[in-house]
Amino acid sequence: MVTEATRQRAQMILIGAVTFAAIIIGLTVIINSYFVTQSGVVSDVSPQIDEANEFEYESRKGVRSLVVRLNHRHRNLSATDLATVISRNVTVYRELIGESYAGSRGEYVTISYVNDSSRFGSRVVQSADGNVTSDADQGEWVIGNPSETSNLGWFTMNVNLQETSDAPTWINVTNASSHWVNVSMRRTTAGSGENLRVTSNVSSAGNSSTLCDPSRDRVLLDLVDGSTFTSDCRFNATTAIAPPYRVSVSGGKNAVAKYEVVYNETVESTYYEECSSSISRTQPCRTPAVWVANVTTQFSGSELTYANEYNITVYEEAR
Amino acid sequence: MFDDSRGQAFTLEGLAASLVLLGALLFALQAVVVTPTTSGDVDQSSQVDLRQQADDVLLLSARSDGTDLSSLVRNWSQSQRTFAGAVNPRIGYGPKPLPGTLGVMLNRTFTQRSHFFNLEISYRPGALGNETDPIPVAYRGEPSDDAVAASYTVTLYDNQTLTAPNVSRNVELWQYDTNATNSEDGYYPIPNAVDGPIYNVVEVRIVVW
Repeated sequence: MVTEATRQRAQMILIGAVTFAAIIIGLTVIINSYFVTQSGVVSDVSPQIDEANEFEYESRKGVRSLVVRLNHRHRNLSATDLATVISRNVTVYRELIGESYAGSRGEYVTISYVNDSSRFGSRVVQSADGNVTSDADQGEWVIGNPSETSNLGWFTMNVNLQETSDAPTWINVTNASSHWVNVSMRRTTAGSGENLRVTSNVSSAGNSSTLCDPSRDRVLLDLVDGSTFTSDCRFNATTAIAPPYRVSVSGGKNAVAKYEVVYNETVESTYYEECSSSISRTQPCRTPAVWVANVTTQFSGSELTYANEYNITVYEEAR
Repeated sequence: MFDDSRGQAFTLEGLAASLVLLGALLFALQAVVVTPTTSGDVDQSSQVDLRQQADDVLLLSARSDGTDLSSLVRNWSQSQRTFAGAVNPRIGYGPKPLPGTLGVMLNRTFTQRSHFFNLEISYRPGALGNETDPIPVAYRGEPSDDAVAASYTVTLYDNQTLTAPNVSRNVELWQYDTNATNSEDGYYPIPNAVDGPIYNVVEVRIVVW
């Protein structure tokens, strides 16, 4: 017999089933939306952030390497001519790196050099073998402006070992705090064959000495880092004391070398003539060098687009 | 009479309830199949992880001090006509470990975790602008369908030299010939793409599966 109680029991089974069904469907929708959202976020945006970071790092490094090479590639360029050369080469670099990114990743990247926002320093260069003397042929002299200290970005000396005397040539570096480092170099026959004996005396660290082997009778010294490009020889140099520096030479007639120095200041015309084709290559002269390069970049991908502008200090970690 | 009605009512309501539950379960099962992380043979979260690891390996290698990616690209042997220490020009290092920190990182990150990878170098063509085939650095087989790729761009300069042992450090990149059959000046397959200090822009690409 169907009583009121048994009818309600049967309806409870149906209502319970409908409730369970609603819970299952609801949970399914919630779980699905969680996974779809999670995988969509991770897989689409993250790789382009990595690629944008890579482009940013490589474009900075690339422009810095390019500008430092162009600063030292020519001797007789004016600041305007140097800016033109740098702009042209950065455009070439932009085209190459742009082709690479577009071809393999479908991303659009650009790099531009902005000369008006860049800052120039000075480069003093003697581009052929000669004594390390002033342009007035003095063996005791100051490189750059004698009354001012400045930051050194580059100081290399390519020594002709055969022509260099066994009497020392001194490079004396002092800073505003009266600390100093004196580096002497002379030809010697100690060790295997002829070498360059480099001795450095630092106000806070004392004396140290090393032998630098030549390559094809030349020794290329980095007087900022205290190393040679041709062997494993290392010595204390200008970075042993804090900048800014004042650099002087004594015994400059004992060495025969080519050299280059780059400052963050403009070297006045009273100390050096401007480099030109009429200036002998054995005579030091001054020419501009980009110290801070202003660069704009743009990155456009399917998920990420941005433009950036930044200054690159050319001689910081440039080598 | 009354008992028959009661039995039919229970039967019909039970049947309706079972159909509702069955429908809900079928809907849930169908919906689970279409979620991206449970579609069967492709685990997208692990693909994302693998790609991130490949990116990180290239990034760390590019920024390392000693044997960075640029050094690897220039690690070209004149006698072997492939990378120094490689098996042959067709597979590069093949199953052998790669040199330097990149080799160590690839071994620890992928090989020791039962993943395979191919590493190759693409470069910009020379003045004629012909398309170029990538140079295999390490070829370890045909990638599977769920392989992931990552790449890093490296700039080469005219005054850089090859880094392989027994190669003259006095010969700069621009002095090498790109013609393998007429290479009295030495052979390096990547050409000088443009005038000026830049030599070429190459892409180091890794495919992992």
